[in-house]
Amino acid sequence: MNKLLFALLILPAIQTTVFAQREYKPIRFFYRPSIGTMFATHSFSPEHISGNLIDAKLQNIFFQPLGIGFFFRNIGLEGHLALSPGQNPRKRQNQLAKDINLKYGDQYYTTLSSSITYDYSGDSSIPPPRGSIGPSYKIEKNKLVLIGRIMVGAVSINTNWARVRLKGKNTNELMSIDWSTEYANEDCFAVNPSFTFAYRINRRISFDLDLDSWFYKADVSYKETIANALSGSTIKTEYRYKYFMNDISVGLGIMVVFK
Amino acid sequence: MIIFLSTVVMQMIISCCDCPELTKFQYKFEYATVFNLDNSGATSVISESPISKNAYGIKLQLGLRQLSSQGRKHFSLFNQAYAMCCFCGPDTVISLRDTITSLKITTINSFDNNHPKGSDVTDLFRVLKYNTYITIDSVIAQPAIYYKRTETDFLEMYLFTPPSQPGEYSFQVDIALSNNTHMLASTKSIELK
Repeated sequence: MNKLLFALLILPAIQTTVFAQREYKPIRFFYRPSIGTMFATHSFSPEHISGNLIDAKLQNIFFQPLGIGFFFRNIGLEGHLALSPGQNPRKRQNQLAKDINLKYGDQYYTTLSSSITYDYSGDSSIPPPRGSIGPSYKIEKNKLVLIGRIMVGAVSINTNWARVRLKGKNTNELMSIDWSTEYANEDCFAVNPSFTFAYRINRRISFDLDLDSWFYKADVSYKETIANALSGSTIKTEYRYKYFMNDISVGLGIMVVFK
Repeated sequence: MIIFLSTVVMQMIISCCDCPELTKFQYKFEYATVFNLDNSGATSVISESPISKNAYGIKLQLGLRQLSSQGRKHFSLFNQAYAMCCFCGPDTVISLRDTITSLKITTINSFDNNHPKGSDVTDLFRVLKYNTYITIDSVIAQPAIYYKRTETDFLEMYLFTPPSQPGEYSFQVDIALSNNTHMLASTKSIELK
């Protein structure tokens, strides 16, 4: 009986010791890299040959090598930089050549050169970066951390030039067409709301699930110059691509708490 | 020690560059040969088969013969290895003893109503340079455009006003040189269809 009474008395103490939620200091300063999948809800479909020179299609993967934040109580400031590789350059070049042949192939032999791939040896382009900065708010409940943000930043889109030589079939006719844009990279203003659900495994390390959405509007102008080798005349036409994009990403990462 | 260092520094400042020796070549025009060109494909090829009259061209081959070469020898008291920076010019200079004063193409057969047998059809041809068709006269006016470091040179001339009727045609190219001589060459008779 005494033993049973003793056991009942110490049980609360054991429960408190073994099952108690361990208290961590609130997160103040952290570094958060992540990796995950990204897809566009609005796909960009080129209406003209020059549209193939805009590297707007994604490979459905992103890396976030840099993500840092600082909190004062529950309100903070965060910034992050992500890379999302574009479409395979060889595929883009092939699609461009296909579209050119579709339009001019009946009458001309086409010789294409472009900055997408100079020699077909590159199988991946430089991933265009995207970054944002803005205010955040966090809720910490024991080991669970919920962070919400509305940030603003920029999404970079790679653009390329191209030139095609059109040699007439069964004639001496020769033309060339150049497509060029003013900037090699187009930086588009973006609004980037996002959420992070994190689980703290110890004082320093948390695993997190990130949900991001990127809203941005691209505005790229291409100049097409058709030059006739015989007459020396040129015809210039401008093609403007204004399109609204929305990319959504889901990523997994590690949050390293410094303070 | 100071004297030694001063000598080395002075040498580095005033030493001459170790540039390659300049070699001068002088050539003269030796011969001219012409071929029929079929430009119906992606690139032009020499052909003796019937050619589309809209894709005809003449390839002119100019043979050059070397007359002399002259190397430059130089002497310097200062060691070239100490030179601080070098600005070397071209190591080879090619010059032609004679220049082309005119290039004329005449049709051996009757070409069309406006160009009977033996008439000048030079204006109907163009030369392709840097993706632009230019007149033959403008090529002759800038002789450097066809001087290369080879012993033969080529000029491709394309027909832009085809004959009104298909048939057998041949052309004669007459190149007048500054030494008052002419180089003549004729194409083989070709069917323009």
